[in-house]
Amino acid sequence: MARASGTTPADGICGGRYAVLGDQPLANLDMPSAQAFAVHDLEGAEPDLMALLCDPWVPVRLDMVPQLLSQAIPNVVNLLFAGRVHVAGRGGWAMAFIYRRPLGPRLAPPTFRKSDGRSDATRAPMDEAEAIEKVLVPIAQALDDLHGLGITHGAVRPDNIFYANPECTKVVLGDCLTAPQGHYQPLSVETIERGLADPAGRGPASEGDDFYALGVTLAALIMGQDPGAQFDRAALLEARIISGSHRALLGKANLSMGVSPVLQSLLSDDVESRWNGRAVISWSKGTTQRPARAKGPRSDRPPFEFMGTAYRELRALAVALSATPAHAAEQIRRRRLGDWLRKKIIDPNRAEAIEALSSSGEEALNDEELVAQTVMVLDPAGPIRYRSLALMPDGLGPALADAMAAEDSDRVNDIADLIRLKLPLVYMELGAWRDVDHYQDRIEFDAVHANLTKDGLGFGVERALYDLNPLLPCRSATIGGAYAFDLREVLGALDGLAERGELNDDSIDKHIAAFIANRLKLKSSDELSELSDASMPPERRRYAFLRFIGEVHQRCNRPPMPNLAKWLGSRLELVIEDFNYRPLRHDLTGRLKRLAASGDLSRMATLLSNPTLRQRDEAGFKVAVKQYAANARRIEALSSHGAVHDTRIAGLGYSIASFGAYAILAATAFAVTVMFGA
Amino acid sequence: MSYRKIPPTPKRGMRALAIIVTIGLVTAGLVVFALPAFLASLVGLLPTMATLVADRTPGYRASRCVGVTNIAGVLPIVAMSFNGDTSMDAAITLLVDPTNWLVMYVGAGMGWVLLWIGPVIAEVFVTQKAASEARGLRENQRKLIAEWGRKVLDA
Repeated sequence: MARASGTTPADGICGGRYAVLGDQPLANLDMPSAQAFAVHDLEGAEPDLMALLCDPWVPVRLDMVPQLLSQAIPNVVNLLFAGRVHVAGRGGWAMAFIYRRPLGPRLAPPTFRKSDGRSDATRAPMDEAEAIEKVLVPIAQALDDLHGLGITHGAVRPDNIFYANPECTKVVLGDCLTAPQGHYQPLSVETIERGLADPAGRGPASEGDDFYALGVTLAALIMGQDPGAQFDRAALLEARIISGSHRALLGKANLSMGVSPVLQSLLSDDVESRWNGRAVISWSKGTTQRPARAKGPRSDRPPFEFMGTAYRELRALAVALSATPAHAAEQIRRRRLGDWLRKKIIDPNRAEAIEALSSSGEEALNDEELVAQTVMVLDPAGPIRYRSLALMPDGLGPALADAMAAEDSDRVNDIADLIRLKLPLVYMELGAWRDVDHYQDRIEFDAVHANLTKDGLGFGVERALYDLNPLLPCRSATIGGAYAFDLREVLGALDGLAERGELNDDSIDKHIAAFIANRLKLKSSDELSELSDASMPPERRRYAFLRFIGEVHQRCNRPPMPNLAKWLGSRLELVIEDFNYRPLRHDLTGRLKRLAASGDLSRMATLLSNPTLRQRDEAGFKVAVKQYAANARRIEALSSHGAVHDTRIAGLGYSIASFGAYAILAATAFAVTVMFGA
Repeated sequence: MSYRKIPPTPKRGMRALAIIVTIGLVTAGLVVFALPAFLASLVGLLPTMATLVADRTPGYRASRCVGVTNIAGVLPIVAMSFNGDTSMDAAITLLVDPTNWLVMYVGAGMGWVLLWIGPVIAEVFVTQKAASEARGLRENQRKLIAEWGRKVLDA
């Protein structure tokens, strides 16, 4: 990843070349989740640069960075660098994208401030020919080029297109990296399927979605306003579902016949018949293109009455059912819906699928599950709708990140429940994904599900956050300003806390643990259980801290972390006292101090948790205990003067007496021999 | 598999008879050829015989000790009796001399003295040795505590 080269210690400098000027904001270039600042190229080669400094809580599209850095795409803002930068006064590190700055204004004022997804921002209507020549064709070409690199933009909207020069003769498509795709898009520029989803949970856009957005953008520029501005969210969706997007958005617009084919084709709700870049460019050159057919309302269909409203469109019915799951479940269980599908719509497959859901026997689904799955059958291309959620399966990650950033616990719990119920897997069976092999998705989702349902530090919903958003920085409040993307940066942040004296025993919070567990791909909470056990003595938790951090340190190729090491090293006396052999303790204390001074956390952890050392210590201790007890018994026996003692004395006494007797006999015999033998 | 033939055990009566016959023959020989020495030994070893009768120590250790010193006392007297005269007169002359009795019985007495003084010496020796060993063991225990901590006491 390009950003790897971007971590620089100097304030505001990234990539060793670009100085972000934190005191020179460029408010007119702000993005919904990123502030723009002027940039000074230290090499002086690029005079007009801007930096977009991202909101740390919004997932950014780092995975697209290498492709965008690899080549400059015409009519798209050129990315020059992506990486972490520390800008004074911004409360810590931030993700920075350095772009060549568009020198002209936006084509439309920002629309993204409206919370309901609509825009009432207006601009002077653009001439149709100018809009086609200056905007449609170059942006279609740019999208084609992006798609050729495997990148979808997902943020094509009027206010994200800029004039590239002060003369306003050329346009460039704006940034698409600072937020998840679709997150800040007005409802009108998103297809119906993505529009039904919550903005944060729309997931990656497709190539067709980009061209749909380009079509609406073109219409908006020609009309001078958002074509969906007169509707509220629900009405706009309903109108688009019933009448089709083109008719709903542009039915009353005063547009010329010249621009009509391209708008009709780009705003087609059928992705197969929607025009792509080649078709648009070809049409602009005068080649006759067959426009996509506009869809009309299904007035001929027998309606399904639900809550006093007659529904002819399955998708509209799906929206209504998901809004009132209790009533919807009743209708489904009473087989009214199945009967309607079978007899009136003549769609026995759907009818069978829904009846199978409602008659699941002992494993009967609750109302919310039943409705969620029924809605998948009715509207397979739409999002997963569960309780208040409407999320595309691949939009779960950004949606969870958004809910957690907003501290919306109800929404977080709903997303967690959606994962627990494995609704994304059901979507792969029943939804639009059913015809595609999602083996890898299934494996990944199974891992997310397993990690979410486990208890303990490093698991749960925080783990799901990092599993679903692999490029999200660590969101721990403890190291909030660090914007840590990888393990080394987390360690660095903890080292910084230790240096400032802000580190404590609870510094490894749920987010840090989950972030690290995600990066280490931990599958069991064993390694973290002692860390989260409040009943453990502080020193035991610190030891668990050291072992955990030691593994992380090892994984990061052991960068020196002197402050963190010193903090831990001076608080592990009790752990060293676990060893029984005092000379060994003394030796360990010395070695630990030396390792702490060098900042080598992994070797500190290895030193204290060396199993051979512990086994030898335990074995030695057992021998010492036995020896002490044996000595005590022997001393007792020696001082007791019991029968054994007496017997011993008696035996030895007889031996001494016998020796004396034989000595006397020998001496006498010798004397007699000398005296009488002569 | 082969079986070793177990030799028949001689009857205890026969064995005792053989011993008695042997002693009888030796005694008869001594009476005929060395009467003074025989009589001196007979009366000189009376303390040993008395001890043997009263001895309750395992392996007759007291009797052996007294016997050995008693023999040491009798040995010079027996040696003196071998002067070529094996008559009864010579034997009586030998036995009426109180010095000879003194020598023989002092020998036996020395055995008793040794039996009294041996355990005293042994007790001093054993006690000293035990104290020294206990000191070594305590020192070893102190070293264990110094190296492994007081946990070795509680474990």
